[in-house]
Amino acid sequence: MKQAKIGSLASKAARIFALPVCLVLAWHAFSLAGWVDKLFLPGPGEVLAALLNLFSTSEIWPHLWATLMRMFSGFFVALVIAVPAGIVLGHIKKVYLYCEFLIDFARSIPATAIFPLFMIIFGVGDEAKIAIVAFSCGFVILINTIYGVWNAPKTRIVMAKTLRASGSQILTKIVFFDALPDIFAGLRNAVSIALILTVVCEMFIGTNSGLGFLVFNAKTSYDTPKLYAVIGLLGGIGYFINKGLLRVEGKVIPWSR
Amino acid sequence: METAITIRGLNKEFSAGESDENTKVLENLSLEIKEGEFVSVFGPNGCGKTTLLLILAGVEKPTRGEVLIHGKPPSDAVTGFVFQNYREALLPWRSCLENVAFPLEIRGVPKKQRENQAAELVSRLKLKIDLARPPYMQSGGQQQLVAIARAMISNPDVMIMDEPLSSLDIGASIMMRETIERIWLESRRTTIYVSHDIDDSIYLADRVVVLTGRPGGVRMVLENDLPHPRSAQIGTAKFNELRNTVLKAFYQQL
Repeated sequence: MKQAKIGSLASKAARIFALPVCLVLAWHAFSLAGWVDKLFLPGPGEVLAALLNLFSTSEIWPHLWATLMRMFSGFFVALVIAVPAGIVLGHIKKVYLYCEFLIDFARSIPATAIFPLFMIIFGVGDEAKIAIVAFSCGFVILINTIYGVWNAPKTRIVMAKTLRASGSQILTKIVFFDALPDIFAGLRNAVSIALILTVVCEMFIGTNSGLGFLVFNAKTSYDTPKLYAVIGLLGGIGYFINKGLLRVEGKVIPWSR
Repeated sequence: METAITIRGLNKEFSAGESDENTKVLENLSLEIKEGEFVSVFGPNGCGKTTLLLILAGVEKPTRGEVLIHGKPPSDAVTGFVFQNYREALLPWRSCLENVAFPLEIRGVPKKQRENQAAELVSRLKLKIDLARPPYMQSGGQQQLVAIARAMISNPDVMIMDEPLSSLDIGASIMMRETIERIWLESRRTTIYVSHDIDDSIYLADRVVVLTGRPGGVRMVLENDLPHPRSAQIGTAKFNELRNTVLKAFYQQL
């Protein structure tokens, strides 16, 4: 029994790590052969050393904190506004039809195009970055919530009507829960968008903190090991946040699995 | 015996958009159901059986005609509705106990009180359900039992069942049919039961109402005085005679 469990864990680990390990080995071989200039492709050892240096000197912490704070602030602002709005819009077709054009128009605007506008409105501080993240994540969550309401089985609403449930009882006790699987799908998309936009904002809207700032700084000083290290760290953050959200999803909506 | 349900000249049409004609689903349907009676409604697909039940539950309004439950319009009556698709009718985010107690929650009954009532009802009906677990962790038959208990918890004027056996496998369906019969014999609650299955309709009902094709109206009403429990009646000459009569009426209006 125990052996079977160890075997299953080993095979899972092999599935996850086999390809990344092969890629790192190939990268190492490539680097040793000197086929590419070290300025463009430093070896994995140098990148790992740069990453460890970021942590050992504590240089990384204020930047990591700044990025996560901006990212999650924007994400939560979007969540708090978009989920209730999406439930109401999805449930009351007339309200949705009045808002449909405006929603489709606003969500088609590239987030990068509204940088200057938000900088004029909110300044160059964290508020502008959080607002841009909230704006883009909000529409992703909103649309998924609306679809979640539309996709919900109508039988439960009819059931609630046979019990003479009020409109607000139907929304809070039935529709919201039925929409949760789609809401979570939207949240996972939104959290990825939140990380991307936070980093882009940190690179192009004046700041002296954040992982985007570190990436941009490493590039301007041609510190490519540090550049690769921060990019790798960003990939890890995105991966673990997504996995964490999947785990939360499994706990909150186990029936949808 | 007092009349529980009165349906007089019931018509139901659904709007089919601006250019098309309205779709007639029910036409001039009249029926009286006595207090404590079990009536099966049998008819072809699309003849308006489910629409009839939704009108009785107060969810749909008649286009013309009158429907009264104990002299009141359906929207003022308490009905217990059991749906065909239990997976889509139960709340998977709640335990079975909370599902059974849900109608009381809608009425504002405090949590402790409604959960005690739900547990007491399930025990009184002798239903074998793990009340602490969510419905999706139970078998199909157990889920439909949760749905039946939920429909009964409000002490409804009328039980309305929309093909409650058709999503179950044969074993669960037979078990459920016997359970519905037992619960009805114990409670004698007025029940209107829609089914596609001729045997289920005859097995359970005091009267079988055969509807015409769309728009649905009453084609035939057949009295069934076979003694209960009816498990011993299946395959008897009398059961088969009733079955043939219903089938004949059904084929004549196809």
